[in-house]
Formats: sequence, structure tokens, C-alpha cells
Amino acid sequence: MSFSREPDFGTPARESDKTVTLVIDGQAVTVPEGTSVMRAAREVGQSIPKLCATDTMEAWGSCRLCLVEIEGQRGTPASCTTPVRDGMEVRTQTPRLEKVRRGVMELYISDHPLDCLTCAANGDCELQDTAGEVGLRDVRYGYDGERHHGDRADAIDQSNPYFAFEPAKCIVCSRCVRACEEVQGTFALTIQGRGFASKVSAGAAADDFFNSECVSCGACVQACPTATLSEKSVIEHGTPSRHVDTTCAYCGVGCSFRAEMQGDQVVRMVPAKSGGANEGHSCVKGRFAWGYATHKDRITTPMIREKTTDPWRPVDWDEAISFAAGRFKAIQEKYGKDAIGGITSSRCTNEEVYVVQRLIRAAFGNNNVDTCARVCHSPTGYGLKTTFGTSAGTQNFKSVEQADVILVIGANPTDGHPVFASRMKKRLREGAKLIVADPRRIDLVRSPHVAATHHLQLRPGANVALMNAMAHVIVTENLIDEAYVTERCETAEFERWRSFAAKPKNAPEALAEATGVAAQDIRAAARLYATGGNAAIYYGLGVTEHSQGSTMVMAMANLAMATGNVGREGVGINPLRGQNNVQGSCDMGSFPHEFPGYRHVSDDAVRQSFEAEWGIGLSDAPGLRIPNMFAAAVDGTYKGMFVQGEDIAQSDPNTRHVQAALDSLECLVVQDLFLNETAAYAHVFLPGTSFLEKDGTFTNAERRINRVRPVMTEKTGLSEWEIVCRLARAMGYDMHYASAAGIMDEIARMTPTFAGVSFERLDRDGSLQWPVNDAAPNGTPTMHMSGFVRGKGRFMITEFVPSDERTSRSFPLILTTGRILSQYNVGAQTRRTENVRWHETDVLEIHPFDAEERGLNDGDTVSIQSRMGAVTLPVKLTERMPQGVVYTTFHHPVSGANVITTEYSDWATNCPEYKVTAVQVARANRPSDWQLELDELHETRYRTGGIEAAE
Amino acid sequence: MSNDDQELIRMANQIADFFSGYPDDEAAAGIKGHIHDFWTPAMRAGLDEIIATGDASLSPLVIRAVRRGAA
Repeated sequence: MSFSREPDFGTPARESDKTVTLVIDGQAVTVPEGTSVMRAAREVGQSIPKLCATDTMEAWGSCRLCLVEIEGQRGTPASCTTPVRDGMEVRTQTPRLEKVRRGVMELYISDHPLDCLTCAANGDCELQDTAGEVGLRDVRYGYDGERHHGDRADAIDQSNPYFAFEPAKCIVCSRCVRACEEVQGTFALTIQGRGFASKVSAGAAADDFFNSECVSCGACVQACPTATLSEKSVIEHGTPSRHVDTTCAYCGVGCSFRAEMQGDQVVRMVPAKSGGANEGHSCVKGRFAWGYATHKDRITTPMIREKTTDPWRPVDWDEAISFAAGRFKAIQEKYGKDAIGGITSSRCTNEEVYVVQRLIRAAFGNNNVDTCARVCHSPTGYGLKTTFGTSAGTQNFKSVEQADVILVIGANPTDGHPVFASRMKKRLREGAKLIVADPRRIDLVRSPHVAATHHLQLRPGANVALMNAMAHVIVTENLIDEAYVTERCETAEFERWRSFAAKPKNAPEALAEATGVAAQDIRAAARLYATGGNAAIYYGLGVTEHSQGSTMVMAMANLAMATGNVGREGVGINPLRGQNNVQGSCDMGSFPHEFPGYRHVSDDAVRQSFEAEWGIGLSDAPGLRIPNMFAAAVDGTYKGMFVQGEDIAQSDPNTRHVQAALDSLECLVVQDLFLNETAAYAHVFLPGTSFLEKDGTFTNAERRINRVRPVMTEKTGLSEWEIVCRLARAMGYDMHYASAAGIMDEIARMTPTFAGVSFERLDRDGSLQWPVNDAAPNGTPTMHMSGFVRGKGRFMITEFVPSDERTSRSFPLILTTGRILSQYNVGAQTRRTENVRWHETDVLEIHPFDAEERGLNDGDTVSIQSRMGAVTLPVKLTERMPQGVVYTTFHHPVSGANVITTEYSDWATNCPEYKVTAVQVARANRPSDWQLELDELHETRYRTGGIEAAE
Repeated sequence: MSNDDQELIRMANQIADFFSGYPDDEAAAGIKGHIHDFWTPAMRAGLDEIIATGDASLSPLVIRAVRRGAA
């Protein structure tokens, strides 16, 4: 079977209420107004030859191949730049057109090497295909073109680890340059020179791709119609022979991809244009950083050990499962039923997560199940459920196209959610206004063709103060959408909130010291948010990972309700979720107080329905949250734990406390791809499957349920849900599923918001946004359209309570943490790819004045000390940081960022306060004690049957 | 006092801080409801013990909330 790409309609689809009917080659066609003739022709199967046009970007009209004849119109207009008109009669093929096209093609080919048989794009080259379509048989000008190929060609640029740039093959169609601008929004590429000397350049003369502004999203490679920009994996292996549609397993954007394959080997991952979340775009992680799935470090055999100081012993599945079950049962006999529990993974599928929470509730017999959303977006769930009635964001990503004012708080989308950031930047280039609230000057504040109208550079920990100050302006300057509030919100709660917001203590001037932001800036930002048209809030962990995380989510919801910005396209409260399936893992009942669908365990009717389905009595009391599990472990009442695909020893705050807790367990089961940091404390290792082996679904930040399809068989021999079922059975609870689809059928049966979801439906319709039920059979792109899910919207009083974590003479700086584009969270995956070339080590960013005060130069090794502990890192001086605040990422275990973070957490959900830690920074000349201990741990805890397998 | 107790007091006081913006009755109901909905029985028992020993660092709002009614 030969390989084919997704269909290319040449120019983007248009949306319009008006349609236009025209005749193309005798065939009548009706399309939305604004559609190009090229696209209209393609929709009736008339594919017009083209080179510079592709449907992911606007028409350019430079290649002169897509010419057509139009009745009553002189000449041969380009079909890509000609919009359709009613009654138009178009001919796409005539002797004149054939001659012109062949002549144009002849010129292209005279300047192109003819090494087709050995070219990486052979079989997947639009130039080759088009030469065939136009019937090119001869090139009268010769094939010399020596300016651009042969001995005088520019060298191939191999600097990017994932793709090569071969200038000799370039036809200067500008598709790469336009992809970088229009799709990605980075503007890294340009056409240098003029006329015949024109060529693609990654910036300054000295720049290669790697050292340029390029963010390696792959859009240019995908856009290139020749072999000029080619994936190195295709150069190495050849063109793919088949593809499987699946979903990326990195961030919460949840991009759809075509895994393009040869046999069971992935040749490349190409973003799917049909994907609702990404519409054909990708980032460096999803597009290129999938090599970890077959990395040599992957463990594919189960392993056990009596003590964590013993070497690992590879065993078969039966032995590993019976060992784990035996230990869990022994612990429960000795310490009681509640002495064990588990953590589900936001990296795993809905089906895998559902089965683990059932294992815990039904086989363990308690509700000690939690998930890593605890440490990221649990305040989102709490805050939005309290105010709106649903624990999820209100919009789809496409909604940003309708936004007039975009307020980004505590999120860095260009690094954390790059594909959504590209969609947002596109809207900003069209003129939407941007307000950024962030202590750091993130890239969005000022980048090519994007500039924030207001950058509210607030102090870490002052989010709620900022929201209260904005609320004060909106209330006291009469900017409330009274009609909206009256119709949709609870009156008494609103009036109380209005009085609260109006209090003088909430005036921007009164809060200026707390926020660190000038009052007039807050006033201007509040006015813009309230009066600038459709206003949408996008936020990340800079909102949630605070002691007032839940308060802040409610404060944002208050603001949105007060200004009428919930319940239609272009507005809303939009959490940018960290992990691919963090929404799904929450939906699937991973919290200790909730069954799937966010229903409390004490709700008798719900509990009884699960008791009937699962054939066993269930506890009506909330179980332990992750921090409670650690506390109980240290306390000696919690002794066994099943950890699915999470590296809690690296990702959770106050590492020493976590390590002490894990070390005290009598049975720790880790299910993962790699022997991660947590595995140092494990007794049982159950090898997991990568997303390329999984069959199931992920739910992204838009509540979009996407299919994950296996492109290869499980390298471990078993699916993860089957392993969990076997563990349940070994513990005496009968749990069976025939397939992942069967698990989803049970989820749909048991969870009202998933009632209409099935694999069959998803395979047919692509994706669905929950709720999918009788009221919304095709899903719900925008929530709260005709009223809030809870009935009336509920305003909440949001007193500003400063964190207990304060700076002092000993710890005068505030440390905050975040992510970088090329690496992902604890780095277990991205560190095992070429992405490390962009970020080999975590660094501490500090303002030059703070550095000077401490005698620090760029690149110095420094010690970062908090009251919890110390680590050493290289330092980077940057004015992106405000004075008094330092920043680091946490992608490398040796950095130990969480050695310094504290035990403080959100009042409502215990989401850790990662974003505020008081520290001191000083020059250091050796690794910290903790880092030396980590080295020792890696030497002693990762041995396998005498062979060392350190991470 | 154990670390665990200190942790419970800190968590309870934080909950009280949030509800302090509400009238006393509503605050008490809110605090009690929150602890009931999200804390394990063992943690709730721990808090009861702390209240019984009359720990001064616990917010009076928490004490009032927990002692409020039998529900």
C-alpha cells in the first residue's frame, strides 16, 4: 500500500452564513462565501496543480501553477487567491492552462537536482507529483542551475536533531516561512536575497536552525513540498507505509497525530489537521520527542525485591502480581484495611485510570485513591465546581478565535502549552488585546507581532489580591454586566460579593504593596477586561499552586460572571491543564472523596449504583489525599501503595519528607516505563506501556475525549489495565474486562456526563467533548450556554490571605518554578530524547541586581537554600525576572527543586504551594548534601540481579 | 504534639481563614462541611482530639464549627 497524506484543499476553510454557487468544469459547487476557487474545486474532486498553496495557511499566489480560466474574465488568474463568486464558470484544465503550467514547471525543474530515486522525499514529494500532473517531459533550459545545487550548493544544515535543511532542493515557495509565521507564530524564518538569489534563512547569516529562534515545532517541515526540510527519521528509514490516528501523550492540549509507520516502527509523528485541539499543528515534544518509547532504559519485565536495598529480581507476571497481592493483604491484616492505597496517573488512559480507582475502592476496600492533579489543578476542580457547578474549563481551544481580550494568569503557554499558544498568538496578531499577570516577563509579554497591553508583574502569592483589586475597579466603576448577573447568578451571593469587592481595603491603591503592581495599571487592566468585548481568562499552575489556589480560581470565576464572560464562544475560564489526561484522571474518580463524574462517596444513590455494578460494598468516607498519605506513612499508619505512572519522589514537594514516607512503606508498587526516582523505594516494579502501545482515550483541557490507538503491541506483553485486573483478582476481588472498549462502556454506563461515549462513536466522530448525553448528544464545546450547570452562578467571597511562607533576613528571595518548552515535567521521557540538547540542565534564573548583590556571575554554581533544604544549580542572569524573585525548572532529578519547596498547600485541596518558597542564594563550590545522597541512592537502589541499571 | 497534629491544625486554620469572610453561622457550616467532605474519619478524629485537649493554636472558628450541631 502506498503512503498518502491527509487531503490538502489548498487554502483554509472559510466560515460564513452566506454560501456561493459556481460551476467548475461543468459541475455546480456550493461553498461558504470567501472560499477560494482552488478549495471549491478540490471539494468536488478537481485537484488543481499547486506548489505554494496548502490549506494550513493563507494563499500566497507565487508559484503560478494553479492558474484557471474564468468565463468572462481575461487571463489566467491563480485559483488560490481568487475567491468564488455566484455564477462563476471555471475551467481548471484547457490546452492554454496545460501549456502555461508545463512552462512554469519546466523553470522550477531547471533549478532542481534530479536525484529523485535517492531523495528522502521520493514518493512523498509535491514537486515530483506536480511535475507528473502537468506532464513535464523535457527541460529546454538544461538542468544546470548551478547556483543552487551541485558543487555550488549551500551545505545541508544538520544542526537540528530532528530535521535537516537542504537548500539545494528549495523552490522558494515560502511555505516554511509562512508556516513559521502563520501557524507557529515564531517568525524565525525569512527569505533572504532577491530574484534568483532568494533563499530560505533561519535568521542572521551565522544562524543555523538550531541556534536560531526556531522552536522546532515541525510546521515548516510539514509544509515543505520538497525534500528541503525533511525529518531525519524519514531520511534514515524512508517514507512511511501506513498510519494510525492517535493522541499525543505530553501536555493537556492533547494534539491529534498520525503516527506514520513502517511495520511496527514509527517513522514520524505528523499532527492531524482533523484534530480538534491542534488543527494540524504540533510542538517539538509531540512531533519529535517520542523516541523514549523505545529507549534502552525501558524496563519490560516485572521485577520484585524483598527489601529496597536488595537488587531487583526479574520475574514473570504471575510471580510479581502474587508477590504484590500477598504483601498488600498482609499489610491490611496487620495494620487495617485503610493502611494501603494508591495514586492514579494523568499520563495513563481514562480506561487505565478507571480500573486503578476501582482496584482501590473495590479490592483494597477504601477510598485512598488520589492522582497527580492533587499537585496541579485540584483547585480548578474545587473552584469551578463551587462557582459554576462543573470541575472543568468552560471552552474549547477554538473559542480563542472569538476572544477580544485575553487575560493570561500564571501560565506560560509558549513553553507549557505551545500548540494552544500558537492559536492564541494568531488571534493576538489579528488584534485581540492581551493582559499578562505573571511575576516573570514571559515570552508572550513581548514576542514578534505580539505585545501585551498590560503586564501586571505581581509578587508571587498575590494573585487573590490582584483579582480583588480588579473586582474593586469593576464594582466601583459600574462595569458590572447587571443584566447577565441578574439573569444567571444567585442574587444574594452576588450582592454580598459586590459589597466585599467595594471595600476600601480591596482598592488597587490599598493593595499596591501586596501585589507589587501600580494601582493605575490594575485599574486599566480591569477596565479593559470588563469593557473590551469578549474577555477570556487562560491560566495555569501559577494560579493553582498556591495556599490560596482554590480562592484564586473562584476569584477569577467571580470576575468572569460579573462581566458576563461565561457561556458563549470567545470568553470563559480556561485552565491550561498540565498533563495529557489530567482532566480525564479527575473525571474518572481519582479523588479520594469522589466517584467517577465528581460525585461524593457519601452520596448513597451513587455509591449504591457502583456497589451494584462492582458487586461489593464500598466505603462512604473520603480517603487520604497524597500529602495525607505521606503524613500517615511517616506516622506509621499507612504502609502500602500502588503508584501508577507518577514519579512522586521527584515531583512532589518537600522531597525529604516524601523520601522518608516512601522509605517507611512495607510495599510500594511502581507501574512505569522506567525505573524512576520513586522506584528507589519500590518493592515491586510493574513495567508499563507507552502511549504508542495503549488502546484507550485521553481527555484534554477542553474536555475533549480523544482516542489513543496502539501502533505496536505491548512491549511488556500485557496492557496496564489487564495487570491491574490481575492484581485485583490476586487480592480476592474478581475484576475482568474483555477490552479497553468494554471499560469505556462501563464508564459511560456509570457516569452521566459520559453517557453517550463509546469507542465506536469516537472512531466514527473523531472526538467528543463531555458532557455527552441525551441533552447534548454531540458533546459540549462550550459550557453553561443556557445557564450554569449548578443552576445559578455563585459568587464567592475571596479574602486575600497571604501565604505563611514569607521572606525574611535569612531567606530574602522568593523561588518560583515552571517548565520549559523542550522538556516535560520530571523529564523521564524528554530527557531520553534529543530534546536534552535544548536544556541539558536546570538553571536558576535571577535578576542581575540580585546577582550583583551576591557577587554572582552568569554560569556560576550557586546554592539555593530554603528552610527545608538546599540544592546547587548553575545560575543565569536575566531581566525576565523581577528583583526579589528567582526561578527554576524541575526537569532533571539531580536539580532537586522539590528539596527546597515547602509543606504549605492550598486550603481547600492541599495542592502544594510550589510557586512560593523563601530562599537565599549564594555561591557554592560543591553539590548539596542531598545531591550527594542522591548519587548514593542511584548506586545502591537500582541494581538488577547484580547488574547496575542506574537511571 | 505530633507533626501530624500540627499539620491538621494548619489545614483547619487555613479553611477557617477562607470562611472568615462569611457571617459566623455560614462560616461554621462551611468549615464543618468542608472537613466532613474532604477529611478522612481518622483525620477528623484527630481534630476532635486536638479540640478536646484545648490547643490554643487552633482557630476558634474551627472549634465552633466542629462543635456545631451533631450533623
